[in-house]
Amino acid sequence: MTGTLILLTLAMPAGLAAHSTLVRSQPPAGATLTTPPGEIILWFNERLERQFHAVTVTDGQGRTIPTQNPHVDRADPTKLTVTVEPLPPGVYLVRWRVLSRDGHVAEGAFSFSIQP
Amino acid sequence: MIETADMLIRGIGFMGIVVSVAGPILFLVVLRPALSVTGEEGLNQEIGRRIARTCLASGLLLASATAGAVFFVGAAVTREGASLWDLALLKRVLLETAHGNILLLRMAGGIGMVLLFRFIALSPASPRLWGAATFAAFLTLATFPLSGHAAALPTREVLAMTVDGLHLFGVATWIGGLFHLRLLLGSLARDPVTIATAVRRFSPFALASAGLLIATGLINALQYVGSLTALLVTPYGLTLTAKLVLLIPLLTFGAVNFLILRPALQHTKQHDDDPLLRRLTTTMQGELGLGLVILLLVGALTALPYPVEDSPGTSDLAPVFSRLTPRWPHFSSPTAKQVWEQKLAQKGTPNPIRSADAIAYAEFNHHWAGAFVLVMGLLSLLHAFRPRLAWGRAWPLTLIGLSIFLFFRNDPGVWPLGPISFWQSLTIVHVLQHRLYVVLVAALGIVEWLGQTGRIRRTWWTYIFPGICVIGSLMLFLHAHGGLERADSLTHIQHVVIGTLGLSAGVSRWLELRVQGEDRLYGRLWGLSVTLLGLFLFLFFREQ
Repeated sequence: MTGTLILLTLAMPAGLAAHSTLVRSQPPAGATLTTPPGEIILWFNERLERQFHAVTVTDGQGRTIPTQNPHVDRADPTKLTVTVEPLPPGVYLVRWRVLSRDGHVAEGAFSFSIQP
Repeated sequence: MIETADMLIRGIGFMGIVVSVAGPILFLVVLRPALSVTGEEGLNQEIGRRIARTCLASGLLLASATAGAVFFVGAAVTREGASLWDLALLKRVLLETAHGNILLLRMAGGIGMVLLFRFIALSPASPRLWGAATFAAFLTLATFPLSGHAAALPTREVLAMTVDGLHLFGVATWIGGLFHLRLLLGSLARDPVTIATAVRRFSPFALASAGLLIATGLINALQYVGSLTALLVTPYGLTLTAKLVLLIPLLTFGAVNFLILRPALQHTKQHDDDPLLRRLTTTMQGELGLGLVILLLVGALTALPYPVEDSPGTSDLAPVFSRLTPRWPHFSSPTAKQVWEQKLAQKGTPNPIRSADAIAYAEFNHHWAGAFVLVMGLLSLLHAFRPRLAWGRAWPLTLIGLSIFLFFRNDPGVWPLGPISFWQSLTIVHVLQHRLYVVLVAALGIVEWLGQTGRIRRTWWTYIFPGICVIGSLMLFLHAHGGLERADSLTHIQHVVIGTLGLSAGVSRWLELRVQGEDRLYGRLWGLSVTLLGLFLFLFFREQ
């Protein structure tokens, strides 16, 4: 049993225990838009710290799109907003990383596309 | 690895605060009045001094665990960034985040408690010092709900934090009080009347605390888990389930103390060798051991993500039932050569996929390792019910059989089944680890067998085996899993079942050794736990 338990312990895969979960976003994950969004808004299931958050947007070729003013909303601390420049048609990947009030870091990604 | 250490350090922090808060409560509300009845002022001061010293140590533990927690937040924030020792970043974490502010406050509270308990150890009769230490302990306790899941809830966070705080207070007065009482039993044993009075006064506290724990635990379960499916499917729900399962024997121990031993102690006149006192000590140890294990699980719960409505894996129980359906094990497996060649073929691939043969090979290993464990359990049961039968005493020999099986099957690429030579294999870290574990299992088997047959005397070493069972099981609970993915959840179900049975086996074996044959109950529990564990591995274990 000891050996089995030890082996099982060693055999387990490592992983990041994600805490804050992305509840919804604007634009939504997988959405196809006809007009480019002026900002990307993420809503989480937990209140976020105002520091240590990051949102990056990359296009289909993997180039980083400049973003501005990422901030956690004061009135709704589950809401993280970032402003993006007008995006041309294409597929975009949004990667996010946040620190929630319980001290846990969570990260994830979703994509959306803009039609020509 | 960082996540596991994070959970462990959270658990240690909980232990620190629970013991620190319990000390003053136990002394001021339970023991001092009890000792006043017997009129022993000298003993009163001695007990106060000893409690203060224990609280001083637990305060230090708490402050250290909190400092560790700051580093873990820093490490998580800088996962892809700067060094862990970036002091400027740690300063930002402490000063610019609400979570960091709370940790800073907790560290200050811990250091304050350490100083106050140091002063109390020097002058244990001072009511002002006891009052200040109690205040500092409660203030520090209040920081825990302010930094947990409850603090991050978007709504009803005040209610959730209050419930969390009450839950922790309940743990402190019960498990923390028990911890101090167990440490003090030696000093109190001089006077059985004092013990009887102390136990009589402590029992209602323990009972009320158990009620508080159950009530607040139910509210928390509804708050964070919400559905039966989430309770049985998600890592958070499963860890909570394990905690609830362990609560049953914990409450049983408490009930035995309250309903049987407490009334019986009122009539005891003997001390030192009193069997009643020895029984009380044993049940208290069982209660305490389980309580401390549960505290580590609480640490895991604060670090695991709680289920979110509509997240993957929280709506369907069918895969869980499928995973928990017994399946007859395979009597043959792919050869080590096949598995090794397939692994070699994938070398250099960015995301290698485990082949069906590799999975079948690993499942065969687990199933037949389970068969060894099953035989060990059945022999242990035989020994517990028929101690005179020599067969029963031979249960440790199955560990030697298990170690030989693991030696051959652990690593398909190495000697004696694979192409890598024995000496060369020792340069591969994971193979070396497996070899060391094989030696450990064999050594435990030999030593346990020698002890079981009376060839060597049982001393401290006898607790190594149950200790390893408990630690190994806890590692299964404390290991972090990747969020809410279905595959991880299903794997975690197995780990929780194995971990729970392993804990049950370890604790009951520990108690069996403590009572030295006076009570067969623990031996039977040990045998039953190992048998169920073996059955689970033999018939239920799946790699995917």
